[in-house]
Amino acid sequence: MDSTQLLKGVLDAAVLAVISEKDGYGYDVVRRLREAGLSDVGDASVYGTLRRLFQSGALTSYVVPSDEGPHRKYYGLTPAGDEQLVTARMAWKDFSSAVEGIFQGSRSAA
Amino acid sequence: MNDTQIVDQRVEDYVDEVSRALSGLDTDDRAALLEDVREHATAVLTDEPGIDLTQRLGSPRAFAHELLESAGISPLNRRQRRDWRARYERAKASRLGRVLVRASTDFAPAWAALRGIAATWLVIRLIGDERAEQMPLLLIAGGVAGWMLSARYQSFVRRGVAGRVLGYAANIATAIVGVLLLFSWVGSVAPSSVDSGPADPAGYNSITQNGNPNFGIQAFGPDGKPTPVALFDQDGVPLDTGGMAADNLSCAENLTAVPVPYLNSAGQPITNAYPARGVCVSAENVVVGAATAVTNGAPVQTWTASSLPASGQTILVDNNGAYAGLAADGATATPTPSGSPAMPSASPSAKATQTSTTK
Repeated sequence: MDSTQLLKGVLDAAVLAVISEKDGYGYDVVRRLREAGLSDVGDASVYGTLRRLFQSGALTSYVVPSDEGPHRKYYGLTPAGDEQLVTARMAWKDFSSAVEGIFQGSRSAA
Repeated sequence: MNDTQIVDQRVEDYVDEVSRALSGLDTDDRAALLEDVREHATAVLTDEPGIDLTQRLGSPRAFAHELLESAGISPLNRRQRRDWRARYERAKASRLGRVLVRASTDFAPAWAALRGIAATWLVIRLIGDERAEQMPLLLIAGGVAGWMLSARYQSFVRRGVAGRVLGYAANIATAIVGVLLLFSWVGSVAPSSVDSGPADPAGYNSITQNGNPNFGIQAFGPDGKPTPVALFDQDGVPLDTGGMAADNLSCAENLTAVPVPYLNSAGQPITNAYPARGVCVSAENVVVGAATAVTNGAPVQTWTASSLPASGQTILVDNNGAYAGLAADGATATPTPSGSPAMPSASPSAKATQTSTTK
């Protein structure tokens, strides 16, 4: 099954969840998502998602000087982003339960 | 060329390619996206120095496409957006545009408060006028709430197209309601045709008509002659129109009119008594005679003071609720005033007569 479409549906929530654990910059968020198991997540997709979430008010950003290179733009969760994450978690829980139930039913029928 | 310069050049080369793929975006959006690309490419090469960026991140064109799609910027509408964006940027860069942009920032808290006031006013209008007496307090509360909730409102209207449309609609509604409230306030403080003007330090109010002071009110008694009266407004405040002035007195040539004020029981002059009265004096201030109050052509009217209908008598009342004579057994014909201008009829069913009351 192509996971690309699935990833598109949950990427917003996944990014918010990663940042809710700890503020992060773009490359850091990509790395943490892949370490969590989303190996197919695209670098550009994460950056575009970060920008969109920032513009919608779900994220705040600040610049941190770096000794290893250029300054890094860190992202953090706003109260609105926190609410969005809570809503996404509940939606995912309901959705995944429903799908799991369908799969269980089809397994029984088989 | 050292390793850092090589890393930088590979990053810049990749960013340049992505930049070409992003042509058509407005300047600010493009710069912000390219900054992200530069930061990411640098971080990748810092972690994996020997990697090829195209191999690692994908072709610059594919990277740009994926970036736009996930950021919610449709590449198909880029050209259209560029045209409108260009016009918008030109307008912003104009002198008026710069003033408006600055004003929108400086006055943002005031605008947020006005937005709250407008929302409160609209809600009250929609639910009816039952709370009209509490309107000022409710509007103030709405303004404070609008100011305090400004941050939350801003984050809400940034959410997608619907949020932005709501934001524009709210701004338009705020501007309209603000103008309406401003006109309403101006109308309430504008001078009316006849009103009681500002009180002077002595505690008297003056009369203005169409904004101009109205001096020399003339009161006439039933005999058609100026009669002394003391005038007050609806709140019981004495009215002073400067009637007790020499200009309102007339004397023969070579004599000087000197107003002699009416005195109250404490012997203090009162200025709300009319008409003006005084004496004509010679150059040596010897009284020659009484001065004549100037009437300036006011129509002289006389009327006979008639008695009120007695208790027990049945009267006629016209459609306007005015007295229209005695009923049945004795309709009294009251004399009309002599020399008076024609008086309008009070109602079609009753002949209008001018009566006076006596005390």
